[in-house]
Amino acid sequence: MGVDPNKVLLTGENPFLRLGPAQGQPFTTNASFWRILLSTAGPGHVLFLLSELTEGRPRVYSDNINLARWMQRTLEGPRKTPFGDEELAVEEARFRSSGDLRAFWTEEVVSSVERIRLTWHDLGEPFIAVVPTGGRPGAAFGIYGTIIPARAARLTLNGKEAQGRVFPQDLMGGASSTCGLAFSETWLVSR
Amino acid sequence: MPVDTNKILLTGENPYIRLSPKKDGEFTTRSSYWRILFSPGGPGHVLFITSELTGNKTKVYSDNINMTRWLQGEIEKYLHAPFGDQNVPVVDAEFDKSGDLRSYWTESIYSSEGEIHMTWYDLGEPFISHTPVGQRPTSPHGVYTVLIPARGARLTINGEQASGKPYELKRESAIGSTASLAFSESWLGPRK
Repeated sequence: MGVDPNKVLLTGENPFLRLGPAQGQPFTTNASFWRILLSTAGPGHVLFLLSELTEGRPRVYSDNINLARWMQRTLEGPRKTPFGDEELAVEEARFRSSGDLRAFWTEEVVSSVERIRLTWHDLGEPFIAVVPTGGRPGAAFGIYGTIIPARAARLTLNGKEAQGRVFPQDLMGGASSTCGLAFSETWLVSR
Repeated sequence: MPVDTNKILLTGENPYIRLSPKKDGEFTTRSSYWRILFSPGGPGHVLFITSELTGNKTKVYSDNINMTRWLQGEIEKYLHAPFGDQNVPVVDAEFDKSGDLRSYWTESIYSSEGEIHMTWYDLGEPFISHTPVGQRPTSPHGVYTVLIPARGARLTINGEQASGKPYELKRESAIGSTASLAFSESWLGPRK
């Protein structure tokens, strides 16, 4: 048995859904969903979404605005994702999951005016990926994740479906795709 | 090592409470709780428990008997043999959770036999533990888990509280406990 000496920053789930018109082309939809069990900002859910369905503007949905801002400051900003701007409004939302990972998985996000559904299906074999803390140049974080890659995915906003497709992608050395369910995911930083 | 090439058997959570009257004493209550997201037996919850409150008999509560029998045959028989006994009846139950891991965590189990509440509090610093596949002499499995040790724990069955306390358990450079929340836990086995 080995104990990782680094500090646990968060643990939870981080399914992602990225769709594009063709392999290697910029994504037209980029969604990063978080279900956090443990963090210094508390538990909760956050969806970061950028899509042609949002007119190409980043949106943030959460049931814990403190967690959402902490994630922007700690993870999204330093990694220079489109979601790090703390001037973005955080839409209050309710979150619900359904499905059976032997078949499909759906996350539903409902705000006062929007209903967003993210569904992963045609699931591949799960694998564990480990990024050692400080092991990548310019990356301060370490990650342990159980990745379930999806060969197909769908995102709808108020019933309208996002364009684009899922493509195969290497993820931390594993055969994955641009859409996957990252469960049992833990992020660490050095002490 | 970016990717573990072994086969994933399950992923989910496995909090446990083990209480005894004194440090290194025999456990008077031993419980193993599972919230499974992914397994060949499907998702669901199961609680294995033996305690002075159960007359020192093993009890099993679950909302997925198929997953429970798979878990007994694949995992629990190696961890604590009485929990792997598939002759023990599985009592159908409903499961609920509450809390904030910065403070406390409670798992509640409701069945025709009444209510069980398991609470962890006075939580210590979380750490990641990894046991590689093939390293344990008693089990073919490997495990990745986030352990949140608890200095305090309470287990009640129909309002009656189990006796005993949790005790500190040293795990290499980290301080564990006989009562811990094991979250983001994945079990692996060798490929055949």
